[in-house]
Formats: sequence, structure tokens, C-alpha cells
Amino acid sequence: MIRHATFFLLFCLLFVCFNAALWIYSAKHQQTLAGDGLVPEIVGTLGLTDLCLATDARYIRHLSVSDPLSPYMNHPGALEHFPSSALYVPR
Amino acid sequence: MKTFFNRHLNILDYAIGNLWRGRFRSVSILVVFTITVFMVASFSLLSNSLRSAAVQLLETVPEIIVQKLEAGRQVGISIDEIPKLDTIYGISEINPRIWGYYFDEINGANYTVIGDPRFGRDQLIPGLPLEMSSPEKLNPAISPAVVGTSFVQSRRVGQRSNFSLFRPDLSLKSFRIVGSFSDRSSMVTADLLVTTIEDARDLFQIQANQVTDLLVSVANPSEVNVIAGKIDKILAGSRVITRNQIQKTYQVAFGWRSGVGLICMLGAVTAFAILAWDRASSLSPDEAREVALMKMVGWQTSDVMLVRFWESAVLSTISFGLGYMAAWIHVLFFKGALFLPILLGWSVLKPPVVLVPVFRFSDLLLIGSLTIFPYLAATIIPAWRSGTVKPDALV
Amino acid sequence: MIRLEDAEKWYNRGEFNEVHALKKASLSVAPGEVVCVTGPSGSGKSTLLSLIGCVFPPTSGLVEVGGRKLSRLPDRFLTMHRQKVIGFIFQQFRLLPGQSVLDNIVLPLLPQGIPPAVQKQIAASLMERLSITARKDFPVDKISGGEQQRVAIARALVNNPAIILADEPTAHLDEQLSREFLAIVGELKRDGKTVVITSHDQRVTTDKVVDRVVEIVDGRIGSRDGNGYAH
Ligand SMILES: Nc1ncnc2c1ncn2[C@@H]1O[C@H](COP(=O)(O)OP(=O)(O)O)[C@@H](O)[C@H]1O
Ligand SMILES: [Mg+2]
Repeated sequence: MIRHATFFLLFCLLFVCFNAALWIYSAKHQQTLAGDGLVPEIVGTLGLTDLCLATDARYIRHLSVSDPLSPYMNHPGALEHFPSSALYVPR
Repeated sequence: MKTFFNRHLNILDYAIGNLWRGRFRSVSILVVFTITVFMVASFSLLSNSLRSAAVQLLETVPEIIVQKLEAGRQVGISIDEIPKLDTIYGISEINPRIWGYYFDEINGANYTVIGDPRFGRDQLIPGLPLEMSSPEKLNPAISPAVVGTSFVQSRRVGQRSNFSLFRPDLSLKSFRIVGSFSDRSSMVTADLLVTTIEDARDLFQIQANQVTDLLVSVANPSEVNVIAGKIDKILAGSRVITRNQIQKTYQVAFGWRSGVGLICMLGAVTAFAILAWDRASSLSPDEAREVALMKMVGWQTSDVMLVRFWESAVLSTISFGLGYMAAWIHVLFFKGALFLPILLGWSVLKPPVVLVPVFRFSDLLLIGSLTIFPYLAATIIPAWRSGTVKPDALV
Repeated sequence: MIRLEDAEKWYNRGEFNEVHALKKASLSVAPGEVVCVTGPSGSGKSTLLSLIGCVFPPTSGLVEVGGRKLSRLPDRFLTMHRQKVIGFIFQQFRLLPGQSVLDNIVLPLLPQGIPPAVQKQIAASLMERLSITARKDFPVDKISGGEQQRVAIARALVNNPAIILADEPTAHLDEQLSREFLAIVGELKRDGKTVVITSHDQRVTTDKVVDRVVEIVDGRIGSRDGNGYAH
């Protein structure tokens, strides 16, 4: 006789398998992030500093090398590049 | 021992039977629960994958960058100041460069322009991996440029090899594309326009001896901080940024942003807990009679609470499994389409992002504690109330 | 088997709605005896049965069931004791709606950690004996009243208790089914079970299976033998 509980445990197992498959898939595709070594090469050669994720303001495009005052140097209307600028303090 | 397991299994069976008999109610909780897990997990995995991208992609950022500030603004550095740094022992190379932004009036996009002294009119930067254009484009008459994928798309350059940008005085400066960055690198190069340092000066109309920053390479990485300190002293008003600081920025920025996102989600989690409470706490007369009967035929308070616990556990497990899986798929295959804008911000250029989350047990715990704990907490008191129903109501 | 001495039961004592449901009740039932408690409605029959059934301890006085005094037993132990020695058949049967006949019968076995195969075996022999095997997988709300009662009886017997209590068992049954019920009581008696029934139904009080009739009026117990003469 099969218990409900058995079905449930099988179900859990199925989830673990699915999720494990996603984990493994992701782990295997970590290299695609770096373009199989292409990106570190370009970054190193050109001396790039930041991820190109959003380009709406310089203190957002180059998060790590802009100073705390740079958001205030735009014309007043451009201060808020919502939501990207609203959510963090530039260094 | 066997009895112990059988007791739990029996009660688990009974709990699942209960959920099945009340399937409309169970499904409604399941749906809301799954959505809550999905949202929290998406946020967590998004910031997780952005941070892991930062770690992998920014491994080779410059060891030291020197900028100059004046009245809190970044200003140019005169190349005449570079020899001052010769006194510092341990610097292996200093690369001055022009580095700025070009705002494209036509489509409202911002490009990043880099002028590199190693880039010559008829000579590409040595060691820079590019997708090359045909060699006849190396005609030295027009300024050469290497561009990123978003630039190509937004300027609609297509197969053309020439384009023009405005100088500050609105005269046009032409460039020819001698190469482009592979789209496998667009996480860092999408909006780039790399040209010679003279052409960059010409485009921005910067004085001949000025650069915007210096890239300093250091022979021994362990000396970076000492050398950075010395540069800071020697060059008055300079701002020195080290590799370590750059790399930390992203960990902090995304930690912070996803933190804010998660705080916003707290509202959703709370609402969900209230729903769960409401559903669980309304002990209907039917349920009360059922529990009274169970007590009557020998179920202890703890047995009844165990039923409630298993009901919650089954719902939580299924919702968590579904929500977490959906979130992972959302981030991995749909690039976090629902929440990425909140983490990245609005932008005219839409640089293609590659998101590959990394499995971390701590993430799993965080997501679990933000979703399952509120649910269990919301159901524990109703469970206890249900467990303490007295059997005499039946007679 | 069962012994009450000056047992008192108050409901909501000290509150505006207090009820003195049982007054100085003394009663003793020997093992294997079948006793019928009779009396007008509201006289305290169900209260007496609940006391015997370890549903609650007496407010004062002594109640001893299956060799154990209930007076100061905490809930937990009352429940444990109830599980071991009592089988209770309710007036309204109190089956769990939506669940099958089988599920209803094995309900008391679940928290004891009895594996499903054994549960099925126990239930099967009871269903066989009460001839409801054919209804095994029916939801209890889809079977007739007589069958429902037999499910309730099967559930009461599933732990093989020494004492069977039935509250107004024939109130919802017709002539024929009442006779069948009494026949089942006869079988239980033959098995050596102690049975206490409450009823104000003539057919029950006068049936020959009943050894003794106890009358209760306004919470006080008097006693008659099977022929209706008060002692
Ligand atoms: N749970 C209860 N709370 C308060 N009063 C009760 C409760 N149960 C029974 N009573 C009262 O106790 C008295 C005896 O009730 P009961 O034992 O049910 O009588 P019977 O079963 O003979 O009809 C009645 O007056 C009834 O109203
Ligand atoms: Mg009654």
C-alpha cells in the first residue's frame, strides 16, 4: 500500500532533482559569464573598472570610480536616476 | 523507533489527506506562498548572480587608478605631473588615458569613450582581443575606433564602417570602425568607444597635456596600499582608487540594493503571513468538532499540533520548491526580467546582461527564513489553539 | 471495572451559567456487565457517561475506571487512559465527513504508530464482523444511518477496549436497526466487554441483554433491576 507520505517524499525528491539540475547547469555555465576568459583579458588590457549594466549617469555606469559628489554635479533635474541611483550611495 | 516513524508517517498521511480535502483553500495558500517565495528568491538570486559576475569579470581591474579632484569635481591631470611619481619604488608602469562620456543627442544614450595612448592611427592596442574589421579600414586618414555591441545597435551602424560624433563646438568628427568587441564581453564593453588618445582629446577638446586618469601597475600586489598612499601624498588633490576598493563596490552595491528590494518585499511577506494567520486561525465549527473527536479517540494535543505542523510543512515545502525553482529559471533563462530594472536602473542603452546564479547554502537559508519562518510563526498559535480543543464538546 | 462514589459534576462552576449536572452519584459496574442508564432528557445521563468515558475528571468525589482513579489525572493521562480502555459511540455518530469508512475506523490507530497494513487488517476484521466490508471505500456521508452507526461501533472497538459506552444509540434508528444494535451489544457481552448505554427507549431498557437499569433524575442516581422495581 502506498502512503500519501510516499508521494510527498517523491515530490520533494523531484524538486531536489530539478533544483540540483539547475544548480549544476549554472555551475557549468559560470564560464559564459567571463566569455571563457575573454572578459578578464579585455578588462586587464584596457584598464576597465566597471560592469556595463546601466548607462543612465556616469556615477551609475562607473560606480566604483565615481566620487560621492558626482551625483550632485548634474543639472538639478537629473539628480535622480530612479531607481538605480535611489538605491545606493555612490562611494 | 519504527513506531516513531510510523506515527509521523501516519500523521503526515492524515495531514496530506486534510490538505487534499480542503484543496481550494490549500491551493490558494500555495499560490500566494509560491509567489512570495518566487519574489524573495528572485531578488536574492539576482543580486547573487550580479555579485558573482562582478567577482569573475572584474578580477583584472587596474591595481591603482589616480584621478584628480578640484572643489569636489574631477578635473584633468597634467601629464607633466607623472614624472613626480618616478620616486616611488615598486611602480612598474603608468598609463595615462582620457576617459569620459559622450551623450548622444540623437537617441539620448550615453557612451563611454576611452582614449588610450597605446592605440595608434595604424596600430591597434597590443594584446586586445577584438573582432576585426577588414584590413583596408586601417586607412590612417580617419580616426580609428573600436566599439561595443550596444554602441553599434544604438547608432545603427550596421555594415557601415564610418560614423560621426559632435565636438563640444558642434563640429563633426568622423571615426571609422576598425574592430569591435565580441558580444561575449558585452557585460563590460557594450557602450565602449575606444580610440587613440589624440582623437579622444580632439573629440572632447581637451588641452594637449591633459589626461583624465592614470592607471598605475604595481610590481608586487602586496604593496598596492602602500604605493597608493604614497601617490596620494605626492600628487596634491588626487584621488587614488585601488583594485580592492573597486571590487568591493559591487559586493556592497548589490548587497545594498537587494537589501532594499528585500525590505520592500517584507511588506509582501507580512501580507502573506497575515493571510496565513487568517486562514489558519479561523477554526470553523466543523474543524473544532473534528479535533474534539480526535481527542476523544485518543489523540493527544501534541498529535493534533503535529497534524497542523505537517500541513504547514507540506505547503511550505511545495511552495518553496516551486517558488525557488521558478526564481532560478527566471534569473537564469529570463535574465530576471521582472526585477532586474529595480536592481540596475533605467537606461537608454540596454546592455545585454548574462546572469548565472551561484548556489550558496546561505542564500537558501535566507530565502527560507524570509518566507517559511513567517508562515510557520503565523500558523503556530492557531495550531496550538486547534490542538487544545476539548473533547467534551462532542457529548 | 467502573466505580463512582459521591461523584459530582458542575459545569461552569462559579459562573452565572453554572449547572450542577451530577449530584453525589455512586455507581459500580462489574466487568462484563451491561448497564443501561435511563432518565428524562437533561437529567445528566450524558454527563455520567462522559465521566465514565474519561472525557473529564469529576468536580469532586471518586471515579475509578479500569482500575485507575480519574480525580486528579491531567488531560494527557486522561487521553491516554481513554485510548486504552474506552470505546465511545456517540448519539450523532460523529463520523468525519468526507473521509471513507476505512479512514474513519482507523482514526484512533494513527497516532499510535501502527503501520497501514496492520491498520487495514484490524479494520477488515471489524468491518467483516459488522458486515460493512462492501462500504469500505465509501465516504461516510454516502451510506445509510444504520451503516453509519456500525462504522461508529467499529471505530469504538478498534482499540479493543474493555469498556464500551453508547450515548442514546437507538435514538436515530428504526425498530429493525435498534434490534440489530442490541444484537451487537449481546455479542460484545459475550466477548466479556463491559457496556454502559444511556437510553430512554423502552426497547432498550427492557431488552434481556441489559443486566441492570440505572435511573437518573435531575442528576441523582437511583437504581432498578431489569424488571423495573426500584431498590
Ligand atoms: N458542556 C456543558 N456546559 C454546561 N451545561 C451542560 C453541558 N453539558 C450538559 N450540560 C447541562 O447539564 C445537564 C445534564 O445534561 P446531560 O448530561 O446532557 O443530560 P441528558 O444526556 O440526560 O439529556 C443539563 O441541564 C445540561 O443543560
Ligand atoms: Mg444526552
